[in-house]
Amino acid sequence: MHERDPFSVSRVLIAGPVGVGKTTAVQALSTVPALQTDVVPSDDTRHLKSSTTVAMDFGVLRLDSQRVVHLYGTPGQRRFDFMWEILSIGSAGLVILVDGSDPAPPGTVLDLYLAPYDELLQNRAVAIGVTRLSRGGREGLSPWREEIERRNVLLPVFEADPRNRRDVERLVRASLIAREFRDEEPSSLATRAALERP
Amino acid sequence: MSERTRTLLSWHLARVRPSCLTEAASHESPRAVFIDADHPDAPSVLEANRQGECLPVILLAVDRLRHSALGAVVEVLAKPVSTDDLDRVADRLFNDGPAPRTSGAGADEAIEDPGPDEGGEADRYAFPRIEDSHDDESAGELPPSDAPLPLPLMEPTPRPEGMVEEGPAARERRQARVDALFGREQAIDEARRGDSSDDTSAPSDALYYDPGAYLGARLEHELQLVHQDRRAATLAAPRDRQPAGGFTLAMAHMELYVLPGIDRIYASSTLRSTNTARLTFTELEPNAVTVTHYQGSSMPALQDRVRVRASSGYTIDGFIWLAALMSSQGRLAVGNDLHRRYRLRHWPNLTRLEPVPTGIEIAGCWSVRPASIDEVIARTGVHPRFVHAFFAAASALRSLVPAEDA
Repeated sequence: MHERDPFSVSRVLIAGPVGVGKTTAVQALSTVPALQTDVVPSDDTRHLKSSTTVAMDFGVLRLDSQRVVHLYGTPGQRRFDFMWEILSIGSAGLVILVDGSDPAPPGTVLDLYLAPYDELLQNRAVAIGVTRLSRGGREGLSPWREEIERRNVLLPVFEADPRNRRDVERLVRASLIAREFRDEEPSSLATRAALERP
Repeated sequence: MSERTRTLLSWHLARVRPSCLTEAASHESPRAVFIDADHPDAPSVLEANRQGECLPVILLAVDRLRHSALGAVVEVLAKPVSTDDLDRVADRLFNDGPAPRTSGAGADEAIEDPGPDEGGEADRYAFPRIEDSHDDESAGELPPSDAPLPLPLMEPTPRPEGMVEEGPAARERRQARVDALFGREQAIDEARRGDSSDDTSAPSDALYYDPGAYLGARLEHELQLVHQDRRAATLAAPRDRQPAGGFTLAMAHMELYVLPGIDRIYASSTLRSTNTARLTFTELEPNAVTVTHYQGSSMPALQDRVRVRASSGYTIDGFIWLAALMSSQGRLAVGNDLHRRYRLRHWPNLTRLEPVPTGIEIAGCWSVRPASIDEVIARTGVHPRFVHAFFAAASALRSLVPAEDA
């Protein structure tokens, strides 16, 4: 893997539709009390939930002694989409939570929530967490995997419960992992491997 | 929450006037800078933060029609960051900006409500009353999933931060669990050394195993038979809904109930026990497993047995993955070449499968480009026993395939 900075801080966004569990995920993961900017919804969202994120959620995750991740949960409503692009600046990873019980086609959902983050997508710094699968395992994930494959990119697609710290942490780690290996040239790798062998 | 945080939130939310602010935070030290992107001082405050402590920035900009200052803010945010001191940032926030006005000295007291918002510049940044809500609404957002989760075999429960370090006995138990799943580090090291120095036409017994001699292979064989039966039945009567078949695998110490139609395998004893798991996934003696197939009218009998006797359940992928790990124990299947390149077809569902230490690093390495087992070991720096085991399990699920099959 790449030599890491002695201490690094990365920004990871948690995005996805309204009510999928982004705020819950930030709360579950943050090693400090998560900050929220939730208010009583003034639009149709009030039929779905009693409070909604208007600016963002913020939490901190310490991956290990050298790496800290700042987690930013984005507002789910489309009218706040201007925040999505702002938040994407300088972000190292993106976790998209999607609702596996939503009858909407996976392609439509991913189109909406991947569009502002094209650079992260191209860098494979995206992980998809599928929540509320009525049938887990291979069958439940297949439509999402197929939709990702259709985009000619290989991304991690995991089942996830936003309340489960371990699930969300794995998604965050997976969103950050591709950059560890992306820039390594096979020749330099071979040299390093030869040097490292006993 | 700290008075600072409360003040900044209030400052912003004066425009929104929520009846209740859900705020679970209790920050007594500043962790983030809250900026109202529409405030004229926002860019300069961000600049000061960037050159100072460089705390994470929380932009409060909810009014789409009033975010004209966002362009300048984004410009500041996009610059490279450095770390220096917090005081300059705090000075700008609390001394140069509008003075915070509070009703009491205590940090936990509510902020005074200035009355109705008149819409003027001064009122725009006035302070509303903030009510702390202790209701954890978000925790109840998700209905409980109906689908039973596969039960991980031996994953240690993560310790919350600040807990006392585990003692020697706990460490020993954890090490024993890892060794049971992935083999002993020293044994695999020795096996690899032996394999690289010996004549490669006679592979080291210690490094390779025959997957056909284990339960996973037997399970896959029976699953194939069920799928073939279903295909044949569908071809014969395509309009009828075909009843899903199932089967049991009975061993001396336990029974497995396999229900492909609902993607579940149930076990009559818990596989969380290291000893039971070892017995289940050890190399099979001939006739050690009795298979009984159920279909159509006999299926209720199988379902009844599951109801009465099952103590743990897995998805089929989860069980195949676990069986492959336990068969491999850090070794490679006979016929695998350390130098042949493989590619990742799709990421295994790593949140619902038995965890492999550094499994995300191993999968991440394979996801970037096709690589051989040895290349992955070199790139990740992960011990070979974990790479071998991951390879065995991911291959069993067809997540990893030879690169030339692309």
